Amino acid sequence: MKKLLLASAVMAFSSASFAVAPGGPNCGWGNMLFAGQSGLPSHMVASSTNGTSGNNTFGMTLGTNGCSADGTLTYGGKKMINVGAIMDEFSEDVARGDGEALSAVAVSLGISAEDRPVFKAAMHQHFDSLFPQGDVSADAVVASMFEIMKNDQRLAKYAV
Amino acid sequence: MARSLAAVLALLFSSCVIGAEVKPASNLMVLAQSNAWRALLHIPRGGAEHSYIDDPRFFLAENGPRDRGAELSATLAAFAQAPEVTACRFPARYKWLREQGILPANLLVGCSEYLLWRSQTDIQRVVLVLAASYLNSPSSMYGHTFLRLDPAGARSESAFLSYALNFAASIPAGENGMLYAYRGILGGYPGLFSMQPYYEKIQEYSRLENRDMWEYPLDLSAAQIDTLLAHTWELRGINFDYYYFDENCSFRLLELLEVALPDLDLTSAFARAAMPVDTVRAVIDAGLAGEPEYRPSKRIELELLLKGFDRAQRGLVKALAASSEVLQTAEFKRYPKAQRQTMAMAAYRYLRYTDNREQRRAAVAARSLGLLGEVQRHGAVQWPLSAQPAQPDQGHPTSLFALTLGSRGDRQYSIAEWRISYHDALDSVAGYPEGATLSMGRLQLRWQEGEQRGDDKLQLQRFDPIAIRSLAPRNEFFSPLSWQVDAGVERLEYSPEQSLVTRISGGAGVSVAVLGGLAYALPGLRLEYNDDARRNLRLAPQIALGQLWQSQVMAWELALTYSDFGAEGERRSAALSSNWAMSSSQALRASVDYRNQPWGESTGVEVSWRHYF
Repeated sequence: MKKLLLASAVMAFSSASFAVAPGGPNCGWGNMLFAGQSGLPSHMVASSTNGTSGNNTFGMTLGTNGCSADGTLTYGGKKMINVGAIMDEFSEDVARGDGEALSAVAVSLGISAEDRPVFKAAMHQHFDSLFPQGDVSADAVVASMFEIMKNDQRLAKYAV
Repeated sequence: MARSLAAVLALLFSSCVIGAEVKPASNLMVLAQSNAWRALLHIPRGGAEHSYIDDPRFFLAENGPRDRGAELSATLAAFAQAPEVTACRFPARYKWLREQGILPANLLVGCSEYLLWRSQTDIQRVVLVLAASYLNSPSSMYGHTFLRLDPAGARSESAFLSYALNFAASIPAGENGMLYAYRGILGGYPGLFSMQPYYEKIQEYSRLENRDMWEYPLDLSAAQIDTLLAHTWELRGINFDYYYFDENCSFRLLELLEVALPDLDLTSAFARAAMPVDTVRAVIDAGLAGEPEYRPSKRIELELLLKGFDRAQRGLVKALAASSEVLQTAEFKRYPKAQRQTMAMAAYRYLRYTDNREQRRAAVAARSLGLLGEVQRHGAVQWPLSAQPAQPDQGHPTSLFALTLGSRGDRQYSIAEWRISYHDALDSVAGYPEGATLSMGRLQLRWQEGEQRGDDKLQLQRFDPIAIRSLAPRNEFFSPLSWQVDAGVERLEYSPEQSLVTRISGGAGVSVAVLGGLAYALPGLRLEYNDDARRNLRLAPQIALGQLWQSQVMAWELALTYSDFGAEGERRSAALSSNWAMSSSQALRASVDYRNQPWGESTGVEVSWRHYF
């Protein structure tokens, strides 16, 4: 156990690489919509015991397990919330036009308070292009999101 | 001690970094005894002079955990020797020592990792989060607390951008339940602070476990938040022993708050046991917490939508969740748009609810998306928020003392009862989960009138270390199990020998919502050891049937029990009980019952005064 903690601490310190999109199963851009439990953070141990799995002891923002530990990833050089980790919440918010997950995506993209309603409306209207089928993955969703922004007068400036 | 202080002083004087602001040794002793230093080292208030931290990496002096003066000397020596390295390792100690005028400014400027972390976790608000009781997980029966850290600026606008700071036992993967229970309660797991995105906590509690969350904003100044975070950094990867009852998540959070507010005593009341909700009350009583935000579980959100539907619509919601084709049927399409939208959302939420713990299935994913598409088709929409139930902090306190007067047959008795924690189904339900009974450490002593003068006696009537009953109603949408388990010793009243038996009993069954309350049936088994019986150990099948009505003020329960002890006979009982909560700390309870037992028939009546504290 100690060794593991030590190793993760070393990793935490040596890794300034959290900004690189890692992908991979259950992590980042590889996540599919409605992944259910397999898409949730591996908290099965934690939730049945109040425990922590140990590799996340203090990885916050420094990156621990090859996956973004602070919940952010980078897309095309732009840092934003890890949409792959909140795909279910995000898709529901897009369908009804508002919600915490949709707000979080907007804010993390740096969209100003005045433009956020525009962003939310644009995402809502383009629901079908964001989520063309049930097995769409997070990277495709984010790519579509940037396409939609580029094609919108008010939002284009956030997509560069 | 004196020698090491002298060494420190010599070092301080010789150090050009630290210059002339040195305090005399006597002042250092005063500092070592201060609340702030005590809090930084996690030394209990009063009592044992031994830090709660068991990890040598947290201390600079060999005997640091036991000697705060030595640790202060060693800390100052480290600052004299390697000021920046020490400041980067112990930013909160540095901050405090600098405020005391002992250390110079700007020692943190070279701490790139710490400063990077602080720039990314730029926190403007701290929120104390209470996740509600969850009887289906032993570690979470009493709830769980942790901190939410809200970033500054626009990022504070969605909790999905906040962080969670959590203290939890670090459990090796695949640990078995018994070992967990044993080591969790008696110690043996390391406990660690960890940070993670807050949305992971929302997913864990609100979505996976369907527990309500209460978010109490804390009134902390920027400087206090700075201290709290600096100290959090010091605790990276540092092990505490984790104990279930006292040194648990909630206790550790109070310690953390005391680091930010050293002169505030939050911890001493919880040295023996820290119930999460009691610690929240303590924080409120200290004037630190504001009105909470209520974050209903996913199940509550779903139930809110279902509530508005008639029978046909509920049927349609189930059908929609089972097949996308229902979207195209005339039966569905005859409803107005707004209702179709709400039904589609309910079906979507129901599907996600039932599928949450499953592996991903392509067909379910496609169906979920089809339902979301139907929601979207009808335009942006907002559903009303679910009504906020009573706040957990306003529920009755968790300990109980009760006095009962009773009469059975022609004899009178009185009972003094003490329950360490927590709640039974007849206590006011305000702030507690519905249908739940969770009692730990319940002791009853009984003063019994004898048949003749002088025969009066005081005896142990009952001691139950644990009794849990979880009644969760089933309907066409939800099919949870209702269950009960209890263990302890109890006296078989009026049995010829007044036998004190040891028993463990458990059962599982169903409950349904009827007549404005809950009807339940819980078949099970009871294993009883009785010294006075012909066969000491007996396993008896049993069943409990009942109807429960709960509310914030009045509660009623009608309970029938039957158990079959074979050659030792059968035991039957019927009881009607009622509880009137006069305030959050006082209640009156009354019951009448009839018993048919191998040693005779009897009827009884009891009246109790209950005081929660």
